[in-house]
Amino acid sequence: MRTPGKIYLSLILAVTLAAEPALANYRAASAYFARRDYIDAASAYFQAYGYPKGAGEKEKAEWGLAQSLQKLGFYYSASKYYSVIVRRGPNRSNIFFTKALEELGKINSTINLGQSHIVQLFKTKIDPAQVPGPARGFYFYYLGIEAFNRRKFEQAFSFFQKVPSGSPYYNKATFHLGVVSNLRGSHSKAISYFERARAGAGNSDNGAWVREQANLNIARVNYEVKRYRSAIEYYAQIPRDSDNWLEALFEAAWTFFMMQKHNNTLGTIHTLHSPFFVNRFFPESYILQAITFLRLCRYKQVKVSLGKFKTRYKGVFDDLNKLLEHYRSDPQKFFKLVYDYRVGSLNEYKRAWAILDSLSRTDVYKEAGNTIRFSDRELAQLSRYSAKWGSNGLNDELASFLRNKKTAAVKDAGKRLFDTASGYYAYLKELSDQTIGINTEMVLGRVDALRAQLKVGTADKKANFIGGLQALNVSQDLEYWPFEGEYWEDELGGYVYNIESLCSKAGGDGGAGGGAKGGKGEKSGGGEEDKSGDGGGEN
Amino acid sequence: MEMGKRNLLKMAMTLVVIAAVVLPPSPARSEIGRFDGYEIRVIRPRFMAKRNRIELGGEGTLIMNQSFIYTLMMTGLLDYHFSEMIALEFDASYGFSIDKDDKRILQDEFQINTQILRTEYIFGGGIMWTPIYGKTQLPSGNVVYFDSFVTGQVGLTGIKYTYEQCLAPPPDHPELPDKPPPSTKAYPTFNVGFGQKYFVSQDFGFRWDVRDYLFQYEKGDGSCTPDVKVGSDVHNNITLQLGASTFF
Repeated sequence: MRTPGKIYLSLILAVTLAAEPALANYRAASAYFARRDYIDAASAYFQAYGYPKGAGEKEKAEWGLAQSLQKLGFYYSASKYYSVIVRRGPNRSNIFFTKALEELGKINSTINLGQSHIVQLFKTKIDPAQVPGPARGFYFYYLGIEAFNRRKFEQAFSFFQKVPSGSPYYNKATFHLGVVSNLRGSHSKAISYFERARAGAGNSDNGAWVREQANLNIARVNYEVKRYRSAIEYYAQIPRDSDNWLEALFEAAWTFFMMQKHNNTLGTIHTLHSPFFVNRFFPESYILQAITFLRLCRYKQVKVSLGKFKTRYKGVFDDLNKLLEHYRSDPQKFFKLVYDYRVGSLNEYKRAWAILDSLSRTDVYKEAGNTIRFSDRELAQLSRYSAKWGSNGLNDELASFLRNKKTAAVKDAGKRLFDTASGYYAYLKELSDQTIGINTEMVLGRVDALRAQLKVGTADKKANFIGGLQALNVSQDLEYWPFEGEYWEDELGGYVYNIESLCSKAGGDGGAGGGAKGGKGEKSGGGEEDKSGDGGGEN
Repeated sequence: MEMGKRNLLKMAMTLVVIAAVVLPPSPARSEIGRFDGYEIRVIRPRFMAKRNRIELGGEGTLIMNQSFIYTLMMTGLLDYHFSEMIALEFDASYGFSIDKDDKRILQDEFQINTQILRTEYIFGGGIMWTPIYGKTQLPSGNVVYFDSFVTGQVGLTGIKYTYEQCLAPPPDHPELPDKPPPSTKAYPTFNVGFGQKYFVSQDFGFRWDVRDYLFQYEKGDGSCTPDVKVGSDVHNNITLQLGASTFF
């Protein structure tokens, strides 16, 4: 005969027996972890995480799982569980909040988790006082980035200032303080921040990025406040093998233009137009070249420059238009297109390769590339543990997370790259309109009015420059190579033109009334403008 | 001979003094007019600047124009570059000679003892003129800069006489002269040469030289009666030198 007591006892026994595997899993997991058997620990923690018994066990298993994965080098996978902990916010029951935030900061300084991942993380309201010391840099830096992207510069400034000086994010935060200061109009403060960031940049890839960006931005600030010589000095510090080298050259060409160093302007542009850089995107260089010739009253060469712009970029325009139409609603495929170009497997849209090249050099593309690379690395690693992790679903869970992470990164980057490409289209259109404007004014004979608009900048007679953005040093030995149509790689960046203004002759060349033919071996008179004292020690 | 050596030394010292006075390190000129007829030029700091720098080098030297011996020497070089084109160079070579098979065959089969001028050492100093500075592109695409130069030097050549062709006097003829002991005699030497340096970096390069060392020697010095003057002759040592140098 059954008694209630017996039934009750049976029930308790059944429940206990059912719970036993979970309890046993968590204890076993802790034991594995203590023995540094992280593979089995992860598997056991995952099971305990899925079938927790009692309050707090799920959170402990979650923490243990994240720790085990991190020890095995599965940083992205570990970040999944750390992020879940952080997103729950700091509260009494979330005992691992501060540690999880610290660990995420450490992981992010090793492999970038990605802007979108971190933004999601900090959507939870967190009291800054509860952010642990080691994670404060990570926390405030990304809050600053988010505020900056939303153009809330004052807020961004205040967040960047809170990044502690010992944090791995301090240097980048200092750099961004410089950017915000410049936007506020505090140019000297901006330069001071950039100098500090540059001085603190180490020898890592990150350090090299900060150093280069700091140099570029100091140059730009100097350009803005018309300290052109200093601007050139900082542009010259961008190394030859940097992705930013050509950008520095292009901006330096503008700086030379403002200094009325026309031979240096044209020489610098000559590098940009060399066959070595046929796939680089600097359409504005043709406009700059044209207006420089215009200043020198070399009207035939103005037309040649404008003609070259049209020849080179008409096709780019057409292919870019097709690209934008085709990939408007498919950012993932657009990212793949840029990727295919980068790895050399693309055979279409050849006329727009300069655009794709430019897109493939952006930080957006590189960040997404890193996310894909690290995710693929972890996916490959996962296959080694399929025997132990396959049966309980951990393998599938992590694989699914990593694939989703890749997809999200590609989608996000694809969209941002598409927006950039659309910006290029508008930019090309604007430049094209400018070339039409210049041509029209020349045809209508309103050259003088055009040239009057170009009377910008200040001639700096004291400064003379040779190739390579170097100031002329009279005690230095120089070498000269004539350019005879053949480009040598070691000469790139070193070109200086050797032509004079034709403006003293009536109408210049090809304008109203012809004029002396400038160029090889022929020098015209002094010219109404500065005699392009440059390269060769004309003082 | 001693007078000749002293005069040579005096001449060398005078040359050094003249060079130091007449060729002071002159400030660089920016050479505004170079390739002035070209619309576009490359103007940049010289990759390989040698002005006011010391060059220390070493070479292996082979005297090429010897029928019966191989002479191999190690050469040390010390240069001071007053400017990109003019330098003072001092060098010293020391080495040894190995008989060729031809010499051994002549001796063993035909009892012919050839009289050899075995060069033991050469040293000297003089001027190096570098009129050519250029660059060349390798198949890898790398660009290598080079100099081409000519040199003129004065110095001394030490010729080692072994007197192996001489016999000791027989015991029953003590009045005959003894076989002379081996000795090395120095002769004033003038050399001209040319060569090239290929710069691997701004501090290091490889070089090769071809030089013609001319000296006048007393023909009797190598005979079994070296004290007997029989007239002089001029000898050429044509050397091929390969090595490297570093710049400070």
